[in-house]
Amino acid sequence: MAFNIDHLSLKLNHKPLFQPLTVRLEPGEIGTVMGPSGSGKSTLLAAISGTLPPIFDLSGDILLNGQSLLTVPIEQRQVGILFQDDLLFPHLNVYQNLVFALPGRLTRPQQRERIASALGSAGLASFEQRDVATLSGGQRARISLLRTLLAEPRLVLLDEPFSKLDQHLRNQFRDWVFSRITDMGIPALMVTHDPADRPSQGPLIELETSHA
Amino acid sequence: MITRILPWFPRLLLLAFLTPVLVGLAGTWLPAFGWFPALGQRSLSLAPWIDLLNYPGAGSALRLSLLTGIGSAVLALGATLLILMAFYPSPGFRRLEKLLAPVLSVPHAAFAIGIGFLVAPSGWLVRWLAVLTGWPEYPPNWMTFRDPHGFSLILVLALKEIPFLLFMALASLPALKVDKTLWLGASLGYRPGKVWLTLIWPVLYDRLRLPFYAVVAFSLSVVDIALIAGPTAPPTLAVMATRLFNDPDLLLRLPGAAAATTLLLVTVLTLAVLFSFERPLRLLCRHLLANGKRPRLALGLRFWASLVLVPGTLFYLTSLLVLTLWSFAGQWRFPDLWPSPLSARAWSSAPDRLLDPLWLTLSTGLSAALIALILVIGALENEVRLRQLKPGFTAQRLLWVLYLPLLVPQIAFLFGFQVSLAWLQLGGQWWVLVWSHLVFVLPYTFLTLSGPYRAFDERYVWVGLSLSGHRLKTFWRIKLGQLWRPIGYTLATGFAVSVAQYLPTLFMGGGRFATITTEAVSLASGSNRRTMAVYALVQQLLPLIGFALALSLAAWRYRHHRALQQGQT
Repeated sequence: MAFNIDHLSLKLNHKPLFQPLTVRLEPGEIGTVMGPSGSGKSTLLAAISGTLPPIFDLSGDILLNGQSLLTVPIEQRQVGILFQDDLLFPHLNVYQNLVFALPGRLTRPQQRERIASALGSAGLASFEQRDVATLSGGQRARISLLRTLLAEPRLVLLDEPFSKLDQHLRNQFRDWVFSRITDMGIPALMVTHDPADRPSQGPLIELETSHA
Repeated sequence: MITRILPWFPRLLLLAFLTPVLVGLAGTWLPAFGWFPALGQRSLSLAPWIDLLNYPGAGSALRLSLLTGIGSAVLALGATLLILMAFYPSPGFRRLEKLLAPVLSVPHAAFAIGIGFLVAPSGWLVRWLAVLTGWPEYPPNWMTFRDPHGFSLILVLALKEIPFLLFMALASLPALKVDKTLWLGASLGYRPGKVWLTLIWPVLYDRLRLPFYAVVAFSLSVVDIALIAGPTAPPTLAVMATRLFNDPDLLLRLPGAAAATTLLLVTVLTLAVLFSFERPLRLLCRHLLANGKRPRLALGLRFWASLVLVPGTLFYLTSLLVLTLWSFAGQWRFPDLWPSPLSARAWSSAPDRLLDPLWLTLSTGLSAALIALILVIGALENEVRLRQLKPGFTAQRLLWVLYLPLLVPQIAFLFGFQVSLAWLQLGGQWWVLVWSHLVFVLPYTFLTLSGPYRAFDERYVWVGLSLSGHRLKTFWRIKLGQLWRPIGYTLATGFAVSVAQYLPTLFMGGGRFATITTEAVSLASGSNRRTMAVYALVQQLLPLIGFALALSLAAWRYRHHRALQQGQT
């Protein structure tokens, strides 16, 4: 499941946000997008996830497994998003948060089994009935990633996912996220301000404000 | 498909409440100028206006409307400012805030009946006077209620509108950072009074303008409260117009239409005059701001504000108590403070008569509230779509349109709407009654829900869509699932607005529809205080039950979710 950005250019009022971009990510590879504020990092993620406002002009292509995503609506792209806020649904408990992400084809026992195994793998066994408001920051971050992965995405977008965690938690969580994504063989694109967030392997995409 | 349907919601919403207003205005103006084919009047003329001018008491009625309408609205605004200056922000004020919702839900008619039981010559206040001082022995021959000058009407209107203005102000105050401004002012040597008048009030008034104008328009043209608490000979112009519209002499509908149109003109003129005062007042504020004076004089704000707040709160509480006492009164001679013996007769005989009006009130209120909710959610969801297409899009400019049914006097368009419906042979149908209530329920529904709905973090929806792959499932489970509390509160507000409607029910049914409110108002002119009290209490209870249900349902739904429990969000 390879992910390609092919000569992608985003323009606002005829002004390009960055130089045309070409990136290829292999399954399990994590690309890092860096650049100053206003260089279009979040806009790039919006274009990939399907939430780009039409005031932006887009040229080039975004391909997942050879198929263009550009005309695919957000709910059909199978692109998982992880923001710096965990965005756990506050009116659902841990189990309900996770079961919302599971594909509809599963039976109840299969759902329960998958969720139990996912929670166990994150060191959160028997957390099913917990109110998400009672979890610590680290626990919330892990549940949020589990939820994204349980939806079986074909690509994961990480929008500064570690920036709100303290330094100790941050290193731990970062390694855990990278290993999960790599193990599952999903390509991922991460936006960050912190060079320390960059995984040891995987391309670095530096966005520079275009002056064209 | 949903994206294609969404743009229709704001159009439907506007159509639902603008059609009755615009059609109704035209349908009132034509008879006002002599055109009323149903009565054989087919030539345009000024005769209805001349008839109105010659109608006994018309001039006094107009004067009374102006005095009571403007007087009560300005008093309410002044009292609101005074209370805010004296007590906001403070822990005591936070306690007061909690009282606002139940106080706001008290229907106007029930409140007016309760105040009548308090201040009438044989009311509870005079009874207390008699018991404490031994005088008077008999109910005095005073005009303390329904007095010819309209003072009791001003009292009832002002007391009813202060909580509304406070409520609307509270929605804006957090954004104004009052405590920081007061602190900053104090550090520059200014007392809170001057900081409020020069720095906070001008900004707050900008946001309170439309609610204040709605209060002015309402007070100038209200019918149900004026029927209960207003003068009778002559009454206010709105009551006079209603009587003309319902007179057995059908031709009096023409001067009635002229009276209703006069009220519209008077409202527009009054609002224009108020608007023209704003600039000089603003300049005065700016002058005060720049003169650098730091008056040391303590204004005694808390004392004056307490003079409004304490009696006002007591009026609400004691009127409820007296209503309850009267509903259980066997005999209650003057000057006894308590009825003796107590009797449940008024309540036990009530179900037979109450059931039909109660059912109509419930079915109409729930239908109007639900339809309004669906239309408003659709319109707000369309806003989300437009913001996605065009970041920074706001629908704030539409606020004036939303306020239109609240700024145009009801009487100025309901008659015309009724006539138009009769012409289309649609008169007297239940769904038309729901529609007429919807005109007033819709703006309040929008005003109540739009804040929390717009504040919802749309990223939850994006995450939901990317996780589930289903738009409807995400909308239902993730978005609406988190908005139970404001949605419930909005439904209860819509229901309360519908329950309180008097004129739309009166006009749409042509006397065929009886709700708790129309029954309560018509009983108020009679002498059976026990039945009157039962109806007024039921009318008060209905919205309260609505709010209690909405709040407890949300509390139950989120009982296991700390982040969404009351006080957390």
